[in-house]
Amino acid sequence: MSNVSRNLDEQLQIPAGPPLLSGRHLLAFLLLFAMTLGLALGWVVWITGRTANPYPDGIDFSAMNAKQLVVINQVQPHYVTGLKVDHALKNAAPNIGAFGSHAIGAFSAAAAGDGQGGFFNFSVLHLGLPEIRDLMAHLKSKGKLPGKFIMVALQNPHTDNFTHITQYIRELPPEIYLLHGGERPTKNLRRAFQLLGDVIRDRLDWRKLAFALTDTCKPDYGVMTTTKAFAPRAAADAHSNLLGRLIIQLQGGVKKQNSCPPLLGLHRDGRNADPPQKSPTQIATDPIKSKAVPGGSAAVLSLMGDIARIGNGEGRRVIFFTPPTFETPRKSPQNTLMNQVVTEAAKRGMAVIDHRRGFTDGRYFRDYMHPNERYFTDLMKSAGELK
Amino acid sequence: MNFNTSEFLFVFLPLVIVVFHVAPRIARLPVLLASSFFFYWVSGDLAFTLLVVTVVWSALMAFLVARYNSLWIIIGAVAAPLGFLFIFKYLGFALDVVGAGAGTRGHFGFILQHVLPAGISFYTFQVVSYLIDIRDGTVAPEKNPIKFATFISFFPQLIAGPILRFEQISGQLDRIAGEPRLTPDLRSGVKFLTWGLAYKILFADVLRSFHELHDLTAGGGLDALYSVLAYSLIIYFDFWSYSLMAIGLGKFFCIDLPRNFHEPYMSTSPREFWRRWHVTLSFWLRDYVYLRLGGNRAYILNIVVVFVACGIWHGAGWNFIVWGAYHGALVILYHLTAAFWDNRPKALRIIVTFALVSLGWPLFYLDLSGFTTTMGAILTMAPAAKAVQFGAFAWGYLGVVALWTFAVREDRWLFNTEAHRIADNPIVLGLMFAISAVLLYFGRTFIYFNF
Repeated sequence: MSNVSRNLDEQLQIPAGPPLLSGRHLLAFLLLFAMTLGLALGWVVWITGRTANPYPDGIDFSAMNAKQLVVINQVQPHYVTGLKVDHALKNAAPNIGAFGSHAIGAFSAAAAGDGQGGFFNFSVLHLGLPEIRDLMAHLKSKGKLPGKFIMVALQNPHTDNFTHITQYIRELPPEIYLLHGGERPTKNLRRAFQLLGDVIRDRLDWRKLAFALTDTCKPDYGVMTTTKAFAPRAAADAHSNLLGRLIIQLQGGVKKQNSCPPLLGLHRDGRNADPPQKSPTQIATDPIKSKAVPGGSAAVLSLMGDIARIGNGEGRRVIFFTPPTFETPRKSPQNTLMNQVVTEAAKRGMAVIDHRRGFTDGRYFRDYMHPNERYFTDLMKSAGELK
Repeated sequence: MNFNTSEFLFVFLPLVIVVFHVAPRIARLPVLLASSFFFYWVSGDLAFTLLVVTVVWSALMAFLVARYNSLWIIIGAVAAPLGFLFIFKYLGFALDVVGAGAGTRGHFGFILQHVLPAGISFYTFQVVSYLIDIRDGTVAPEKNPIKFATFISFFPQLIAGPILRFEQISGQLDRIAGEPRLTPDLRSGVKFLTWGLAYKILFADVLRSFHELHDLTAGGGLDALYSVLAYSLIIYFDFWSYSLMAIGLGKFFCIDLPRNFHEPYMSTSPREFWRRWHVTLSFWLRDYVYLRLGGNRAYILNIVVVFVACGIWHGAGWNFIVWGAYHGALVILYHLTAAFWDNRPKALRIIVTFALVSLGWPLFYLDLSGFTTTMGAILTMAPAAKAVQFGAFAWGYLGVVALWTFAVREDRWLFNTEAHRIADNPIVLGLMFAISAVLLYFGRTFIYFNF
């Protein structure tokens, strides 16, 4: 016997399991397992079905006033995108549209210099360039692309190593996600399969189950005034029982959290509604994780080219910008790649505003990662100065 | 596709099991192959194409290797899969090492922009061992291309092992294709799949959701210590859960896969650790690298080579090379002090081995600068710049997972020969599966997919 064979025989033993059951015993085992699993998951699906999408009929943003918001806590991102798309399709196209992840959530109509419905913020949680491209293609196919300026955020890769910038996160409504916004209307088996998984996971989401069981941190869905929404959460909201405490801890991760997370909402211009910050701070967090997609600039440039082709024309202008988030003064692979993107995009005639270095200006942040409205006001000034 | 996704657990897997068992025996292997290809194709076109090319290449080259017992033929045969591995995993790092500028990198932009194809390191090693075994004469070239392709791409172990040898699975594939009626060990399949899923979601992923929020620049020594200990348990349960699920999935298709982990944190020495951790990789490196370099005749040199290779196998970067060298140094140090070390109390040896292994894991997710900062924070127990990040809940959760790791003997709970009242109870298993499914929200990609 060879060394290899002997090693396999001695060291790579196939694990022993419980005795093989057969006949009635195996059938009973499988039936009990399947019944337990089926009953448990069926119960979860039944309960979560009542909170799957709190806004099945959409929301008329244009009917809201400046002091109102739509509560979106725990609403799945593709439903949030759906709300925004639904609004866009039912109303006249805005002059200015902002596309990106939640990092540009504070981009407001006021910052854009147009408070009369001429601006809409299409940002959603982790929306990256592929989904921005598809979303814009969908709006274009419906004749609802913003009429003048299309502001597209290039999420700084320090935050996520290009994950959200170059990959699908599946945060678009299914009809857009599957059909590629009309650009490539082919049935996509791969996407349909992944989407099916998303639907199942959504119905099994433990947080929705937790709402139903304890009311812990369950928001009142609908349109409400900011005064009511941002009032301190009543003590009764945070259950004192063990399950409630566990839920709060799991929701908050490791952060010391003894109360419910703040309410999340959308204003009538699509921007995120956040509680007022008492003391906005800025921290230049030095990225310590070393992974970046090497050479990822090519993928980013390709996606930018697609977006520019969809958006430019008929008096519209696509402007890309890199918000000042999560930066570092030192040389890093991510910065090098983004430098390549900015330089090459300019060579290809794309408009890019590079504000990465703005991370040193604390006035631009509402917390240490997210730019505030003041930043977007200055961004629009820069956009206006572009040739 | 990930095992810990709802599309896999509730759509793909039940469908494949049903189709496999209702198919006529002549169609069983094609069903396994087609489902494995679909499983991998979902990950991306390029990765799938690479897998198919590797399978076709090695299937054909096997006959050349067998016919011409030439060193050059075997080098040529393994060069292609190893070349793919180099291009997609190590090219970026190699360009960094030679100081290539943006212009040079631009020439390789098409390759460099792609994410590492999942599992390429695993199936490449399977292909290489197959070709070397053919040259050694221990296995014959497989004439059935569907059977060979199934060996390489069998979906339960395709992406993160265990790394199979052809002789381990060849007979089993023949049995699947030949037996009129299969009697799968469904009970073990359900059990291992459920425990693996629970380990992944409840232990690895929930703990990882804490760990990911660690802010090294603001945390103190205690936070850094939590980070190191938590990651040590995360990577173990992340990888072990995958292997456990793979074993369970194999049972559904009448395939027995080897156990890849034998309670590694109960090891009493660094050498023993590598006989319990990722066993199929350890023995691959031993059989195809260490022994072929001369084995014990040049022990220290060969150990260094093997462990640096082990580090490089895990990832392209100086951090992985340092990690491999660190483990090589531990094994050599143990070798030189075994007489003294082996006489210490067993509990002490387990604790010290665990601590030494754990201190190396941060090199998996930190660059060298971040690693030294972490070690410095632990050694000096530096106070936190902000409030302490990990509170009682996070430490408590870590404690529960650690208690399970060190107190529960898997030979009694999982790999038992008599049904355990709890571990084998179908109602307990059903509830565990349901709880894990409800917490899929915490699900993360398996760490070893990156390797």
